[in-house]
Amino acid sequence: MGGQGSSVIVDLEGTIAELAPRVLRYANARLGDKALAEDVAQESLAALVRACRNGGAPDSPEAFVFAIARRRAGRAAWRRRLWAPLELASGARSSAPSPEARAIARDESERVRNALAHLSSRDREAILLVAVGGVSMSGAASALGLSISAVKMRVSRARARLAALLEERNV
Amino acid sequence: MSDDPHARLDERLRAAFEPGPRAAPRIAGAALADRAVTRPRRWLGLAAAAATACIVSALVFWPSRPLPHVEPATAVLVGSVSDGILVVPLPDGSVAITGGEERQDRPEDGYGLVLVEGDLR
Repeated sequence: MGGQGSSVIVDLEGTIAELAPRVLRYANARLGDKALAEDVAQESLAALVRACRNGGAPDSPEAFVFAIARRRAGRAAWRRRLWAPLELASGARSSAPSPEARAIARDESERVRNALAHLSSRDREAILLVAVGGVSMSGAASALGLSISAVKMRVSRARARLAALLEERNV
Repeated sequence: MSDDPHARLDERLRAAFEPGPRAAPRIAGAALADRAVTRPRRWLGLAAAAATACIVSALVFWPSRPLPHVEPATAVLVGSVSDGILVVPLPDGSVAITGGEERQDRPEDGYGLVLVEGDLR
């Protein structure tokens, strides 16, 4: 029994290690704030750990984690909008990296983010899960509560539009 | 890099939002340890800052708040002295201004000029 228990832990560790960079990348793309993205990614992975340890391991850990990350990222974005005026007033935003450092590090991500902002929220969500988070079509369908064909259509539409936008801006 | 335009686009998207090399192992370790997020929550810091600012401003500005300002004014009031007690009718009613405790400290009966200093309310 002990051997079986330790193999579950080993699997869980492997799953978490594999999912961590993907969910972090997804949260980063959703929020554009590394600190917030880390919070969201960690909370989503911790939820999976708790579920597995409580004997309620989901059928698809990937879909489970990304569904939670998606919901938490939405809440985090909402909270950030709520707090933005106060942060601005208290000067909290001035503790961010210097404009030069930010420009170097985020130039490409800002360009891509600007292009992503032109997509509809539904298409953007689908492409972020599949292309950025590396979630399978079935996993994305589960996380979004859609059929696989609907997700494929959204991703295909988002890819075409995004490619055109990036091409249009010659970047 | 793949020749497939979709794959190239996906790679570009992933590269744009790639986390730092230490971030993923750190959050994976923290999630497995099931630790609460240790980084202080930004909103908690902001709430504490806002509360502190309110308390400090109350402590600083409340004692030094401007008191109701009374404009100095000169007025000529006519009254009478009776048995050493000066009675002067004021615009908002009558005010009795007594003389000294002792009889000899009180002014004589009659009319005269009395200089009064104080706030007229």
